[in-house]
Amino acid sequence: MKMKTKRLTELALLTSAALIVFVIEMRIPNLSGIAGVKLGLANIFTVYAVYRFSGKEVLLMVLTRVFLGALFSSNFSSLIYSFSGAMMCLAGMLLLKKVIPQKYIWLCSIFGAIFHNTGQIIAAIVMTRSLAVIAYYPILIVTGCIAGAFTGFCAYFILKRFNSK
Amino acid sequence: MTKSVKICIAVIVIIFAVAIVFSLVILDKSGSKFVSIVQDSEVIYKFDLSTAENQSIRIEDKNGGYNIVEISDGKIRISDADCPDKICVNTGFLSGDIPIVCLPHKLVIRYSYENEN
Repeated sequence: MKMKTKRLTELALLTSAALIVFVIEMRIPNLSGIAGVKLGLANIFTVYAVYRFSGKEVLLMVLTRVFLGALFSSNFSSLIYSFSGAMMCLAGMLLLKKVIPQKYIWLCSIFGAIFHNTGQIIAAIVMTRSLAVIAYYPILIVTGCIAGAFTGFCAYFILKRFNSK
Repeated sequence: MTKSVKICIAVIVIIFAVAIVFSLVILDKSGSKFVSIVQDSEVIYKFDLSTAENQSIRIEDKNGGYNIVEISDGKIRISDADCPDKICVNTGFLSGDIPIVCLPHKLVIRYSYENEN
């Protein structure tokens, strides 16, 4: 894959910014007490990248972030969940990007959160070979929609800043 | 606002509303007194919480990891584990229909309804 140096640099910068935010968010304790509930601030960069770069480029960026994120948090057992979540999320957002204009990027982000949670729950069902974990699904969807709207608006403001320059 | 955007908003509103209703149902306290401890899709322990004595059980998984399950005063929780994230320990006592799940050790503690085997 041939890539212009400028684009590569931009992607690398976004990936490292996402990782920094990821590591900072890791330090924030989970207040809800429910597993899997979090803001997912690193997704601001994914949502932004979906509207700014091609599918292949975003895929590269997300894969790097997921694997380095697992390395930084030294939590490889959760890699399969973050991986399946991230892939579902990315696939869904890349498809929805075609029907949702940039102005409504927060909508795309909410759908991304829903896809992310769906992917994670599917992975958890497969791993535990038990349907019990599905009880988490509705709660994850509710909190995911709120978190997704938040990260979506963050991405919206980033895009606005960059476009006005 | 284009038509597709309107449809997307409608879909999100519906999903959100349905999820809230289901969350409320699930967060409601469970009426059952029976709990099952499930590992790798097999029920390895069953308890009647209303009669079970206070106790601690050590459950090991295939790779040598462990979870300590504690029953006290008719409540059940995972009091210790050697998994990296400790989500199961932080979940606290079992309540409602949300199971206690330890994903690294594939362990699930949940209420069981019928007198299943």
